[in-house]
Amino acid sequence: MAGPNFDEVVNVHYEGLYRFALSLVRSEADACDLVQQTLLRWATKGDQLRDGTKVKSWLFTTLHREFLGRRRHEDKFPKVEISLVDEGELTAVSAPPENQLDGVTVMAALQRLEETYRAPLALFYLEDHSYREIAEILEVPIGTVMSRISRGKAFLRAAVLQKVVG
Amino acid sequence: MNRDEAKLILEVSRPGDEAAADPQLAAALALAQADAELAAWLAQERRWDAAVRRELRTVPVPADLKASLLAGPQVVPLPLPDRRPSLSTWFNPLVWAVAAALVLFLGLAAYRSFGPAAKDNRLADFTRAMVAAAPDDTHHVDVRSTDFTKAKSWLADRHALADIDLPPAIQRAPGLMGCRILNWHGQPVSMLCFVLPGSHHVDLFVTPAAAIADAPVAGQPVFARLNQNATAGWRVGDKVYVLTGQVPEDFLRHCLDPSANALASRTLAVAF
Repeated sequence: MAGPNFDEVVNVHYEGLYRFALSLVRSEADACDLVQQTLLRWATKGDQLRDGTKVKSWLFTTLHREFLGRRRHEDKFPKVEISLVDEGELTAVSAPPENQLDGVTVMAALQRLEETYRAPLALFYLEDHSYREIAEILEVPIGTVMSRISRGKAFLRAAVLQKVVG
Repeated sequence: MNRDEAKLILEVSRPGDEAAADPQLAAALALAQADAELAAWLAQERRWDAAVRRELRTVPVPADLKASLLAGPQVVPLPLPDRRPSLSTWFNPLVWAVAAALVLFLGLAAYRSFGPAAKDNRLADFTRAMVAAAPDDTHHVDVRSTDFTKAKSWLADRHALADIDLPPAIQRAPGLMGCRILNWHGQPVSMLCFVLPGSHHVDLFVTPAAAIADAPVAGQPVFARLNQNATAGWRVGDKVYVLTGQVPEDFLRHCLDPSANALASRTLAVAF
């Protein structure tokens, strides 16, 4: 079957891919590179995808794999951001008032979470993926995804509150 | 199902999820309808999720990203038309000449590989050895430094090659991570490790040109691919340089281009 053409895929998915990438890599330039690499793979291999309904899932899986591949390289040179040191594990607290949130604050809080929680939470919030779809994209068991989303939400809430309340 | 189990299921579900298709979710929702405290918790959870979802989607996307993405793959090669050889092709003398040359080449290659005079001091041998040395995760560099002058000084203090001419684009881009000293057939090899813009990890190896039987001619770099690594070998003065990494070959070409600007994160977008 004929899938969507490249321009259609870019138009529909580039914003979601970028925000997902940004939640993973924390840097605008690196997020752009990840999106570019993902769509380059689509341009060269997308026609192998038989099921047209799986385009979105294919793109997010590919971007996540690309991220993991790059991270394996960077693990040789672990970087510790000074601002993230000595903060300890965040503890769950009650929800902050929703009307105090803003996108930049929430993204910054999301980016501070451990990678284990970042990817499932970003997919949960940014792209409205179900936990079953997230398990497929991240290639982890459904039970693992459920517990990561659950714990991740508690950590995110605590991190946002820390930002909002100060 | 108790309240805690219901909470776990409800907090990973979304308002539009089909309870009919998920018995666990259906049970959790039923419990929430019968349990006022759970219902209040769920309402709060939904408000929070909606706010986070709404705000995350307001995070700005770079204005030029879409244009660069749409411009990117324009030069991706189109699939070639089916060119199965016709019957007349097999009677073409040129085809037979090429086949004969191929057989001769393979024979010579086999002789070079397995014959008594096999040598392993060619550029390809050096490159293969360095690519194999590069991914040593536990000891990738001897010393970490982002300062090229200090790295050269460290190499010089240990009698390794320190008079290193960096390729122009690398010279102008920050990204030095460290250096290492290796040995290849008794010759010192200085290694510099870079993580260049775009998270492109490349390693540069420098050894005396005298150590390599077929050292490249100055000004004529040799590009190759070895497994997942792109490699470039070139000569400056009495030294041979090999640059390698799991990067597109165009990236290495850009690194060696004397007219190239400093490497930027969008370099690959331009290259593609």
